Amino acid sequence: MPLPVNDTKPVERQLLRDVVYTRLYEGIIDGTLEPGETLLDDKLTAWLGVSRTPVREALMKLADIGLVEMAPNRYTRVAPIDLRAIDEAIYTTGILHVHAARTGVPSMDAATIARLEKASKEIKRHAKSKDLPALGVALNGFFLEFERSLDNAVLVAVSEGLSPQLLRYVTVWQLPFDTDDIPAKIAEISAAAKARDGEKAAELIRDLYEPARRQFFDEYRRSDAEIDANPIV
Amino acid sequence: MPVPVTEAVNPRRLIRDEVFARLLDAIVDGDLLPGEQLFDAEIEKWVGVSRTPVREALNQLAAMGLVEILPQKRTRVTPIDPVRLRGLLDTLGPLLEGVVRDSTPLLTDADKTALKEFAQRYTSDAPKQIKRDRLFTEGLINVYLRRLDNKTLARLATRHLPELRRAINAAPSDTFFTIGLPAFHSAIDASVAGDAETASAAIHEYWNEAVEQLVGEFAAADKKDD
Repeated sequence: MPLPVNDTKPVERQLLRDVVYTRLYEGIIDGTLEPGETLLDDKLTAWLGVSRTPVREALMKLADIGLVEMAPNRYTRVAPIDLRAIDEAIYTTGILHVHAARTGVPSMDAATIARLEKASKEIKRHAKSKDLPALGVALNGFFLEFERSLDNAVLVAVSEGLSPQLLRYVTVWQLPFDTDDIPAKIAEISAAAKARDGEKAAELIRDLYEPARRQFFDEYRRSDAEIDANPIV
Repeated sequence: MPVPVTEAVNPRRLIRDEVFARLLDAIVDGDLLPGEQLFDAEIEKWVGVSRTPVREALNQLAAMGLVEILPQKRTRVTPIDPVRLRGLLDTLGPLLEGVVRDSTPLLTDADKTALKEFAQRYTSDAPKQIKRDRLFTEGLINVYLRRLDNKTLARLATRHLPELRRAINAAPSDTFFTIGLPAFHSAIDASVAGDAETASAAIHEYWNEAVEQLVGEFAAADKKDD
């Protein structure tokens, strides 16, 4: 899971807001809460047994990473599946992973290499059994190792913020990364990391993410006329 | 996606956005100082609104790294921390290189005209003027982001650029500005010429030189305080 609840930090008093956030996050990722489902404050407070304020705060955080949509006084709902948003997130994480691999791999520590190898084996196992959700989690974990090896809290937070798009929608990928042999590609990347070859690892990751980038231009980017009529910024 | 393009006009949303915009400007421009404590009651009085929109705006600023909320304790403007600043820049740098590389082949004539205008304003005697000009940094980068049309990348940039702009406004000296001039101009020239690789390499160089200088100055200032 991308939430920073793992080994690195001492246990802090968990805020109610964070507990609610985690419950909702997991509910959305695993499909307990369905895409498009309306989220009513009353029902959520009853389900989670907490007051309105932490629920609202958690919902705002979830809206922030694109898992929830809030239109004040109209609706709050689980964000519907948005293929363009998924593709954009993969395109964007690709840029970050390439950078993290190039700069982090040359001095990567042995423990990280061991985790990459372990994740690589899990990816192989899940791909073989066609367990797509588990494959998604393992792939996400594999690539986040590169960011986490860099001691850059902002980079980790930004990458983790993009993870839910990848995790939640992994089941709708027809053919993730447009290859039928992900485990082999991942094993190659893992080997390049073990050899501390940052350029090689970066290049392999770039190749793996290239179809997502290509797809953005082929399928999702609008025409110049549409962009000028309705610019995103 | 998180930033809906069309949204019903809603009074509550507008109030929160208003509080957010005023606090954002005050922090980025340095009217609220790094490390300064923020009191809900004072903000409520200052902006003239109730507690809920104030808390919502503060949460949003916290997600952008500009405000630090310690529940039940205090809320303050995030101090400028060289380690965090380096992390921010090492994240924004590669993203912007990617944006410039991928959007340069797509730039229209109008985009190129806009870029040339930015380049003309970025001269050695302009730092003070540009420093406070919020439209400069974001306005320039938006030319590329808009043409690329990747909303996720645009959202990340919009979220994290204010923290960079705050650091630029608070920079101990203008040296980074002068150092960055040549690379900045090569980046714009290459973009206008449609040369994506050269443009993105120049952004990389700009980042390595100018931004490195900026972080270095904050780190040095930090050391002196200790």
